[in-house]
Amino acid sequence: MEGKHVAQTRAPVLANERLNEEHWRLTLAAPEIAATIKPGQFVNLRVNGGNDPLCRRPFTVFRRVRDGLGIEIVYRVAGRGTRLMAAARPGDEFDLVGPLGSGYRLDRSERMHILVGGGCGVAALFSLGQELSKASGEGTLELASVLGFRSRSMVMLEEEFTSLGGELILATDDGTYGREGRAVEVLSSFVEARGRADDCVVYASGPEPMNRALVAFCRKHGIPGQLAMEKHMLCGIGACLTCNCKVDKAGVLKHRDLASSHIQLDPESDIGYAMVCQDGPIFNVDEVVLE
Amino acid sequence: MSLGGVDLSVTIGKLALRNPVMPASGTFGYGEELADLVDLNGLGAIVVKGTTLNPRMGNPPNRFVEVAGCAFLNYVGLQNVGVRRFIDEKLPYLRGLRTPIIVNIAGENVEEFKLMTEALSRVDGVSAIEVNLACPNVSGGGLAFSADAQVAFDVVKAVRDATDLTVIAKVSPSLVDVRTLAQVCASAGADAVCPIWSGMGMAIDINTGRSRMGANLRGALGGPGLKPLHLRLAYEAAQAVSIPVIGCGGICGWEDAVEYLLAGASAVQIGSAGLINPQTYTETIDGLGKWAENRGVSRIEEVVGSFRMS
Repeated sequence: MEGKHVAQTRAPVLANERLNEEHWRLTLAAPEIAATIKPGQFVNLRVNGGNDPLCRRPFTVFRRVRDGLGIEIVYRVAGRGTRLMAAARPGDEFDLVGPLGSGYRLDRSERMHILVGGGCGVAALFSLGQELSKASGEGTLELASVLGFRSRSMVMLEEEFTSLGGELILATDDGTYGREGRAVEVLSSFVEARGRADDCVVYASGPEPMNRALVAFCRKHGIPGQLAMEKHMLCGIGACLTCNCKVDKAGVLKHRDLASSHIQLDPESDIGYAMVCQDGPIFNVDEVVLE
Repeated sequence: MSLGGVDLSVTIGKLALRNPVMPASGTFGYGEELADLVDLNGLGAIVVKGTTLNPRMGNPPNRFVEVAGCAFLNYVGLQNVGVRRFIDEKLPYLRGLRTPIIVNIAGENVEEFKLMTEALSRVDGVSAIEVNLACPNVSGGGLAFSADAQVAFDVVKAVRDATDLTVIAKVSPSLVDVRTLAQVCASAGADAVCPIWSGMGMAIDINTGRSRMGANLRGALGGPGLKPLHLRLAYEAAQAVSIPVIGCGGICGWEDAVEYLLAGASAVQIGSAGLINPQTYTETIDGLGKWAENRGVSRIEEVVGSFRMS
């Protein structure tokens, strides 16, 4: 836990705006969290002060706003908790714990850095895109974004991602907006059209089928990549050990110092368990075991 | 600890706790994880996660799922670093605190309980052993140790004989009456008893038709809904023995803690509520002090067991 500071704070709602049929953007005043949060890190949000719904919901932060005093969360209304969130008005408050998790590791090397997002997951890439955009403005790297959505009505945050510069490719599963196809299919043709893959690095956030396709793609081309794992969580701080995911022993040994992690390796097989909340939610593509 | 003139201290075996509030094992990691969010020196005690002789992988995903009715299922399967790494890597940090450290131990047989107790008694920084009798008796068929009163006695006796530290027996009275278990643990030399039901539940995703707990299928029910069941267990245990009872189950704030004290618990453990809101510990301690002050209670121990039937 060295070097990290986790805060619990009551964050007033500054805005809560509907982006499309299913997605909303919540703006919260949380200076203490906004001061230190890194791309890919998340906050654990308590939907209300009572016991129903009981558990917090983890949300990756979309971006910092209001001179670094606020944070924005993009969420999909999927169940009771998010339905209650959608009813929040300016002046209401949410109890937050954060910043949590490991975040994306940014290398700023002279490569083609590609953001690959699917659905609600695209939001988790934006603040990373801002940092990459800054570096690309200084001419040290190239940036591209490939964002996939189900259909035209689900497309969101186009303006924001356009502002990052670099190539932005939007795609829909049904072809009603942008290119037709899934995010990783479109990524694949993008890389093919460039004529080279060896200088690419990808950062992904999307649903599990996208993650599986991405892992296969990165493996095929030998491209380094990071992806975001999603998991129901209880504490978010590595105390309850309930949000485990399977990891590849060789993969984690290559990338991590296990002593400062929650990773437990199985002495009898080539897998281990990592905690999504603290060892993740961002993992290297060669670390995760997706089934 | 004195709050608004109220003495909140309680005694459990050889332990003088500054207040009766501590986390439940498995919900507080090794303490350090909570250091940014909780005043570790303000707690009555810290109970670290269930420790086994050898490191444990724990269960596969999913270990946790929220279910309707203010509850969740969890089944970690005792993932932990093992007693050796606990002593080498986790205990040095805990030793720097001014709060008694209670180590929950889970053996696969009587011998493992004894070995762990000996190892933990040889080092500085451990104030008490919490004997996890709700874990499976691997060498004895797989039921919980507390599923058989004689086995529970043997384990507590082995631990008692191996240490001068305070011994707390954590029992699951789902197969043996809680009064019998409490008496058996007391006669084996336990300094305190903490009953928890640890009932296993399941949950099915109606869209996919699959287990929401994945390959684990089952998970221990947790959350505020457990309180009435556990309040009854604490009451009955306190009626049956003269050693202190530690109440545990569904405690979300000071009101719940007061209820447990009235029922006969000398101290309380907070589990799920602390994971969801780490401020629960401080709020409970402060709330207890204010409640006692408003009631003109000068020592919180006076409240213990003062419940009246009518």
